[in-house]
Amino acid sequence: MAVFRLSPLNPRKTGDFLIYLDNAATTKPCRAAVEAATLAMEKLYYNPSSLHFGGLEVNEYLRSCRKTVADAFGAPPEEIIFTSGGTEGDNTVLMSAVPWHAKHVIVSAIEHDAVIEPAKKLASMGVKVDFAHAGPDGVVTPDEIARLLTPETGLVSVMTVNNETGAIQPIREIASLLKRKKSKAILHTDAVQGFLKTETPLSGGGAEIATVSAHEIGGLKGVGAIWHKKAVRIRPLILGGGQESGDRSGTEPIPAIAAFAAACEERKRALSSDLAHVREASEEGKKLLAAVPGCQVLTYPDASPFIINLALPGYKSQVVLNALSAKGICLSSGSACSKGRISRVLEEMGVEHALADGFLRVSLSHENTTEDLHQLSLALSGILPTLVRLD
Amino acid sequence: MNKIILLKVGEIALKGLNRATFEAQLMANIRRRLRKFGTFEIRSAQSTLYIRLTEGDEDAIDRAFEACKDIFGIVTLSLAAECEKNYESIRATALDFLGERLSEVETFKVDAKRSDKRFPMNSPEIMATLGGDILEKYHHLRVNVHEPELLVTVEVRDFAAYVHGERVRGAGGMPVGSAGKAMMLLSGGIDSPVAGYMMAKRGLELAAVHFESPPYTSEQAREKVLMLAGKLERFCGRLRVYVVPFTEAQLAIRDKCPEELFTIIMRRMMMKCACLIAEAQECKALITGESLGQVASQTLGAICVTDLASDRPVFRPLIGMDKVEIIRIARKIETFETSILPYEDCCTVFTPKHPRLRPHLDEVLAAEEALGADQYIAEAVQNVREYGAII
Repeated sequence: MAVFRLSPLNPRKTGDFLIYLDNAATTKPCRAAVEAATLAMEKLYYNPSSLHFGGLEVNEYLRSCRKTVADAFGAPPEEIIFTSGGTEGDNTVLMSAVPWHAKHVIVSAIEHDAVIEPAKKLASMGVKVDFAHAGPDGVVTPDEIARLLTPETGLVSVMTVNNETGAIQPIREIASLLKRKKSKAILHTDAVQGFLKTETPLSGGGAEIATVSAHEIGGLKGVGAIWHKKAVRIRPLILGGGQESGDRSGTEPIPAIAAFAAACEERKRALSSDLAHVREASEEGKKLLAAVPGCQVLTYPDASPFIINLALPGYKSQVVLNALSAKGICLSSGSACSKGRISRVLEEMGVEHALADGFLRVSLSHENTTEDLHQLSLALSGILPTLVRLD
Repeated sequence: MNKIILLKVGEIALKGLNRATFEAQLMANIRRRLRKFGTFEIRSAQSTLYIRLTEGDEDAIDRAFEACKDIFGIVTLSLAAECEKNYESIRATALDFLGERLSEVETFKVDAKRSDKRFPMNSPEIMATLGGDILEKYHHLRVNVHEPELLVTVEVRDFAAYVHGERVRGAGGMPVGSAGKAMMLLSGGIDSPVAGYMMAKRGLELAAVHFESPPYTSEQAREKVLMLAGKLERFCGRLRVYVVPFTEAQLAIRDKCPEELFTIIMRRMMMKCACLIAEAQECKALITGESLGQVASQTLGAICVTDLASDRPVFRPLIGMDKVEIIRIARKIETFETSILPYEDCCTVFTPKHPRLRPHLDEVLAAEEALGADQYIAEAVQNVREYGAII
């Protein structure tokens, strides 16, 4: 009878990754964020709407957090609405098109599902929805928006930075176009991947509404914000106790908001050094990765340094991911939210299937170094020759 | 009120001299399955099992009742209230225990069984008197002796009287373990969990073998299989999963065998691995989810050749079923939703374009010889890992 070597049951990964390169999916909370959240949980557990001293104290603290987050947008605090994250923010903005009596909405076809799905919902409710196409460089041009724009257009939604390709969208130019055409359309940008990762603060970027998520900048999951110009009324998606000036009801998650504010403060302070650091690591890393046999670095003229796209023609990205994961290297085959499907964004850009099948997204944070990318290139050089090409 | 579960055992009551063994197995299964809810006393008399809570929370008996619905070997079950053997107590218990049900329905009927003939009222007298008393309290009710919405049953037995409402259909079949132990091949698809379920219903204790091919299959694919095992545990009790690393074997088949024989050789090698593990785990048969003609490896020709690789009987309970019928059972046992999660399994990784429908044994044996199949089988089985199901 054979004797088997038995391993411990259900061995679980410990979370001590060697190299984390999936920062567009989520980031590790920064130390300041963890400390702020802990403090808020231990000391500031009161309901900010309560009328006793505890409530007043927490309310005061919430005000200071709102100020910090607003500063990161370059906006006054009354223009900030805290939400549960990017998805809720996008849904709230898109659904506001109905009370705005917008008869026509333009949404870029490369948006995250958090915008695409509510846009489809709007279409099913009788609003005319057009999807603006991106070029092969992953950019939605102002010309494309102009082509679709009508006097009836009430909302235009184009993301700041695409989550799969890192392509930076021409928000300012689209805003100028809308002005030039005397359009009454409101410009919204899903800035989840752009917030505190580009030089211009969002309030000066041309959009009138921006939605962001805390966990993409070192905050916690479960919180985000909508920034909206005062003149643009957001219609609440969630009704109840009237928190957030009635724009978003529900008791404020103070620990998560505290962490959000701490992360905003830290990233804003370090913004220029973060950008310089990531740019350098990204450039160096691209060179290293381009030298790996069988690996192509896809470069776009105007892309965020935080995201690097790799194509491995002839390999399935999931297989490469599995092999890298076994070596403790974490990255993604595109948007982590839509794993298993062929990327809508790459299809939109007309990327060949052979390339799209073997597409990898390396996404960086200020914590990554050139050494991480060097390790990735070494791992890929080791893995690719051992893999069977599935074509 | 003293609630008690009454279980009618089915086929096992017919089993002549073996009956005691079957019943002991069933009682052991029940005891193990109910352990998490509290301490129960299980007694057998007159082809009925009586389950009484001796220690545990108030709702433990209700939860135990739900759990008993999934235990094989039970034909019908009912939740009853136990009372003293006098009419006044029976009346009070019936009105209290079934009061809520009686106020929900419009028609009812009282049925009585008196196995203790010393009880002063006979069965028709009990029925008539209790029926009258119920009508007096619930004016909206009518008696319907043919199709009552609620059948109120009174059983006067040796030690006590029992009142119960509806009798629920149990899972049927034979107690798990009463027919021995078998090894199922669990792929992660829709069919294999259903096959396991059906054989557990015939009294087999199960273990499972799963083949994985990292990095071509992911950890999620393995987790999915362990989750399926978890779903099956509801019916078959503890289910260990033996995971066989199969990458080397599959790559070797791909490199050294004729393409149209890939699938058949892989299936045969899987059978041989399963037999070795079955031997070590004292499983006297294999169970597969094959359904005749469903795919190329499940034609009669292919099954003939696959069957010869096994040194023990292969049970294929789905062999004569349509996909629709299989899916219906998969939904019933709640494995369907897990089975259709989109993770690749190792059968689909290196699928040939044109598998042979009628492979010749000689040809297959020659290809296996040239491959040195036995060496890969031995190596795979040596590195098998045991996992517990995920619930």
